[in-house]
Amino acid sequence: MAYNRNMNNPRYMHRNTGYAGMPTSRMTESCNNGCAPVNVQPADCGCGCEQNMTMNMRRDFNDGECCMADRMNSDCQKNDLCIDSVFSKAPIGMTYVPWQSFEDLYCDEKALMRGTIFKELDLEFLGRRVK
Amino acid sequence: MNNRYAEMAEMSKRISEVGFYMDDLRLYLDTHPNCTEAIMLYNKYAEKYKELKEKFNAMHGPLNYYQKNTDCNVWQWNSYGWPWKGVC
Repeated sequence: MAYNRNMNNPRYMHRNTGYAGMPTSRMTESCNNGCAPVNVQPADCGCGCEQNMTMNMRRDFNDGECCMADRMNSDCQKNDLCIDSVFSKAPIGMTYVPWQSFEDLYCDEKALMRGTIFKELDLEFLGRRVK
Repeated sequence: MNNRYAEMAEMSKRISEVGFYMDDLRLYLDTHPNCTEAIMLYNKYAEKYKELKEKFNAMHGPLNYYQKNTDCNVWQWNSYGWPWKGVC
């Protein structure tokens, strides 16, 4: 997961945690072309963003990914714990969005039907109506 | 006549599909403005969109009134039929 292109820029980092805030287009300036090639993992995009993540941060995010998958499973009882582990070092009052890469596109016929051109954004709706 | 409407519906659907692809690519490009791959794909779809609209315009009249009136003698916008008359 390419979380941020510019994790080593102190301007965007929390001074205690090293977490950067929500990515903006300005943050892509240090990247070669601002996107990962299709079918290539973001870690190989050449912009150095993954390399700049500390091991702890990488572990947290990996844990988070597993938990998000588990969250799809209603039997998972450890959701709160998992989410806590992902955001335990993040400052409050900030939002975090994983950086999207340009890969796994639908064909145009299917894209209109599914409401997105990106397969990874075609997610099952797990919410419910507010009573 | 029904065949003509079916053809219109199919062309209209293709225009919607291609237009939607451009909409979503635009949203992606808003946050990834240097992604050459997405820009190239956007341009490809922009060409296709233009082509489809021109083809539709020539065969079934203008999709909307921002398009060129291709016949100098007849105002085409209101002379090709309306949705409530079975025209999509």
